[in-house]
Amino acid sequence: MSTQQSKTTLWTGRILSAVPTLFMIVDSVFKLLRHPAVIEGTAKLGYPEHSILTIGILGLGSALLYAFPRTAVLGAILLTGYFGGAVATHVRVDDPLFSHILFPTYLGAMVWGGLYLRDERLRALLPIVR
Amino acid sequence: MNTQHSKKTRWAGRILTAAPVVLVIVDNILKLMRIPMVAEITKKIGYPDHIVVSVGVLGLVSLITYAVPRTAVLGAIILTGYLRDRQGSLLDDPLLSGAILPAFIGTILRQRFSKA
Repeated sequence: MSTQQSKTTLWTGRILSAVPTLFMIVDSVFKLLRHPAVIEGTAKLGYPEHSILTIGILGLGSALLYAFPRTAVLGAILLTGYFGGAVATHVRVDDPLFSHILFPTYLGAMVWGGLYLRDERLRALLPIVR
Repeated sequence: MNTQHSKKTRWAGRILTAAPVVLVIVDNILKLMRIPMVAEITKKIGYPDHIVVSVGVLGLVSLITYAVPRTAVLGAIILTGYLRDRQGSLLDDPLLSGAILPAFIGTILRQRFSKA
């Protein structure tokens, strides 16, 4: 990373990345602990109860990969897929658009936005290849 | 990267890239044509009927972003979300979700070539 990279940019990126990472870790841990609210929410969304563990493991794994700098890009890709599934889940039960269906999209934007600000190699790739 | 290697890599990348592109195009044309079979499957998986057109349009937009070389990386990311979306309730076609991997490998190979 060049020294030109401003401290502000770097920290904005770190904070932006921290939000979805913490969200996913907390969310997944609640899933793994089988918190009653999670079980109820999952049933409402139409998933069988036994899928909670799998979803929790996949979410936590992706978030951890994203949290480690060396595997952050892979983690971001995996989280994108995970969020896609979450969007579909809300679409399926006809949830409101901006507060529910698009919520995972906001997290996804933070995942990539944070990484974009932290990593100049990603900036070289996105959004337009020169 | 030497020129001998890069030619192979380039073509491997193109073929891998083409596979998901063709799949998504066919899938979305069927969607936008509102073929009864598609509507039926959508209903069976549990999605509201009016969603079919939106999903089709989103798919085609993602695809164009991916197909244009300058925005291919962005497109690959968006397609990842989209294809996982389609996989959704784990009941949808495994064929499309399987298209994610070639999409990414294809992009990486094309990128590597363009950097060489």
